[in-house]
Amino acid sequence: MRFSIGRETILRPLQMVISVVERRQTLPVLSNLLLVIEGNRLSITATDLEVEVSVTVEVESAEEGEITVPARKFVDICRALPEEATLEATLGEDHLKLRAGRSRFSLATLAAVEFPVIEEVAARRELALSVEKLKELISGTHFCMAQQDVRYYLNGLMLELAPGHLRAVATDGHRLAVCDVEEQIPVEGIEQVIVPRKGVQELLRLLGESEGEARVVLGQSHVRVELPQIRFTSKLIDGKFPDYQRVLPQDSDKRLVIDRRELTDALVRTSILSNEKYRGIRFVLEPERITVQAHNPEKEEAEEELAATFEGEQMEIGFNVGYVLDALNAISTGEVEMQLRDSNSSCLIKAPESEACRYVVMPMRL
Amino acid sequence: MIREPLPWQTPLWGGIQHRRSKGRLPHALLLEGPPGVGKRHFAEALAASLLCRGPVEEGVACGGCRACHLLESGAHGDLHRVTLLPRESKPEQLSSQIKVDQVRELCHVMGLTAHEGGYKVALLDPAERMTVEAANSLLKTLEEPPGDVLMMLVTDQPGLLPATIRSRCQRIGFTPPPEEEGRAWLTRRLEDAERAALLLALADGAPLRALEMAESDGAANRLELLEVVESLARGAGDPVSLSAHWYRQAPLEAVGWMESWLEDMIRLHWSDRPALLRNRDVAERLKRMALGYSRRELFLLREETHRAARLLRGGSINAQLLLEDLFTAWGGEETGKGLGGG
Ligand SMILES: [Zn+2]
Repeated sequence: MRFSIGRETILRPLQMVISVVERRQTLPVLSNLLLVIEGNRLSITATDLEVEVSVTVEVESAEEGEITVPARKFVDICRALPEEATLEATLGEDHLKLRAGRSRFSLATLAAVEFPVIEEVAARRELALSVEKLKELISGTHFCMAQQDVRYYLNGLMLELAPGHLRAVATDGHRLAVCDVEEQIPVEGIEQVIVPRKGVQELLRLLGESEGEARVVLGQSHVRVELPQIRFTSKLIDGKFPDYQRVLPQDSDKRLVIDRRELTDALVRTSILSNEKYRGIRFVLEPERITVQAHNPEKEEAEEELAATFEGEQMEIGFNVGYVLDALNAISTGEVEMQLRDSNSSCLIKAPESEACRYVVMPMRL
Repeated sequence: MIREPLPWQTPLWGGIQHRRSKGRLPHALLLEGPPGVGKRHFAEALAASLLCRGPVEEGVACGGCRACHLLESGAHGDLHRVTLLPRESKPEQLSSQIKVDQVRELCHVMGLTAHEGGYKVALLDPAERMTVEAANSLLKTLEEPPGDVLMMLVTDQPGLLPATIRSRCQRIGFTPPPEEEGRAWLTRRLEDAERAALLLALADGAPLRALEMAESDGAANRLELLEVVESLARGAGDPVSLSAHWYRQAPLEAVGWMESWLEDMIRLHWSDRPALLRNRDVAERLKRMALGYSRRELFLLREETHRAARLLRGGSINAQLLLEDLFTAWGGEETGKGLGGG
């Protein structure tokens, strides 16, 4: 096995895979990267047995072969080389020899067969969409995922395939996010998979570095996303996502439309004096204006009045301000719409005249 | 890689495989019994059997498929081991507890789909070393584990496990095999029938424990420790420096030897040829030593040794101080400590 590659060319793929390699590994081979040369292409793969990321680049003077090398050391070496350096790698008896200019390195290796790659994902469903759309879907919902919840099926992002849409849903039990992309999807009924939190975050990062088309492959126990030069694979959560439809408020009879930026700024200011633990904010809603109020155990208070359109009878309701701010930040329109019923009912937040992304926030008693 | 159960486990194995073939394998098993009777061996073989893609007769793992290769190299993504980890401050020593983070991580991976698309197997060993918090965080997963899951909890001391854990597992009790069967097995390994018989007796009939003694420095250590105790009984030797040395060896093992000698010493004090004797090879020396104590002293000493063993097995205890007390007690009247006169 042999290849030659510019330092700049190999650095980017290395940086994409390295975050998957955990520092504390129980299995030595998991702190290694799998390097495979096929034709004139080098693929670099990292895995922690939950998430696998593989990136492919073209190399020069390639001789086929495969091997694993210590991930951190390999990355550190490449990073420390001068920018214009060319790296030449040759596999020796049990070391990978690296040469660049006058530098020589000899890295310890472990056999490629010991590297637990995820075998071909038997495609149950497949769909293609733009990287941009997939990114919007995930960035619009991922922040509502639960973290280390005993309801393990909440610690991830649910992807739903239905004939007319691809939908992402996340909830931590206090709030919920639903985003849709309209696509003609070749399914008959509705199919759901839950991608674990770690995989979601990793995928979002990779999407941020890509453009073009994304191919999503659902297997029996894995989801795979193929991006140009990048292949992402994650295990799924082995469970059933709760019926989120029941959480979406159906009978809201009051509607608030307000400038998103103004509301965000007012909430940020007011929340300085909210209870640090519960972060409660009271909304007092009246026609033509709303008031947001906060107070804390030190008896400090903050209040701000905003102009708004409110349709319905006057009411008050409390929320965790963090949840409202997350939803407001995920929406990009100038105005935002809140649908309400009473102080004990959940509120739906979305862009006016769009159902693409919907956020549900449960009220809190203040 | 361990594939087959031990010969005396055949009935247990058959029972489990039968339930498996009927699709009635429980989600959680508690493998309990004294040390050295093959609980871990059984658990390893069962894990391999469940993960293998083409088990052969009696459900035994084939040893040749991809899953078996991954198991062999320790890289199978669906076998999750939770055990005592090296201490952060002293990596050459194992922690005395299984921490909550380890169990949380286990529950997380058990909640994911299987790497190879089949069974997910967890091995918690020694299960009784879970902290209270760790045990609590395991409850939910023990109760309703997602997918095809087998969680095996291995313990020498089931009594130390919370009732909430025990009640959520199906229990399999392991006992030492009939003496003859154990001796035959050990003789095949040691190619020395006499030594096999002695070690088996020393190990309370637990064949794997006997084998471990044969393979480790255990047997040599035993004679070295016996000399130490003999000198202490004569009123020589310094308990403090001795305990510093033995604490670094294997304190639990050392206390185990002492327990076993004291049992024999009490028997030898009563009778010249007691029917039950574990330490036959050193019977004369034990007898000589036993006669240097009164019966009351021997009982007190045995009591003290039992207590030390109990505390040591419980984990977090200063082993060095404990050994020091014990060595002082062997010194008996001369040191004036431990035995309370007599
Ligand atoms: Zn096999």
